Amino acid sequence: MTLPRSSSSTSNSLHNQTALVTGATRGIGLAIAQALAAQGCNLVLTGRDENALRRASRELASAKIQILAQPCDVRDPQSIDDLFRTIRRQFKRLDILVNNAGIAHANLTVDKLPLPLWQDVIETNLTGMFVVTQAALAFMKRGGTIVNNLSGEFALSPCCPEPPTPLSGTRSGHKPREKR
Amino acid sequence: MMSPATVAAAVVNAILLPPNATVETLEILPTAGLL
Repeated sequence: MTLPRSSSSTSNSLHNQTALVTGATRGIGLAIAQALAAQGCNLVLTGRDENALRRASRELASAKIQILAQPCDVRDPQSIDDLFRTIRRQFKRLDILVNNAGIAHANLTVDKLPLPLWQDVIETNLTGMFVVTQAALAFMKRGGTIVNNLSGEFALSPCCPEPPTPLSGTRSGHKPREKR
Repeated sequence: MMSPATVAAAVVNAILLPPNATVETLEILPTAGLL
């Protein structure tokens, strides 16, 4: 993996490109939105909390870019359909997708984790990412970039004699599609 | 603890790479404090 030596070596500016950031109201999602805005990238911000979305949108307004802030629950395919219909109407293009929406649960061992909680995490972090990506690909026929952000804390199995060892990190994959 | 801005900077740097470069995995961990 090769990364540019510094963020100032930006020969490939994102000016006039459009990025969709899911889970953009706080944390890493908001920070990625801010970093993209600094590169001149137009933004589609989504999240479940309308007030937080409005706040994020206001924060980024000084960047002189186009911003669409639309509530979207990635667990709900209808909500995703509505989002992409709006993107098509307002931007007509999508160059970057940042699949950042995700939830975490308390650090429970498997024997104590309720099934509904497990299902909620899978629906949001896995199925949601899949459905959003599927919808976005229809906009990326000419090329684009997809970033999947997976952050987590992991613990050893409870059957291990040692106390659980927390590990934390963020894994992101970036997959550009060749522009034609 | 790592700041969201640190993660964002790494992600945007990856996005800014030329189209003929792909970053398959970017694993970001704190410099110290792990095993």
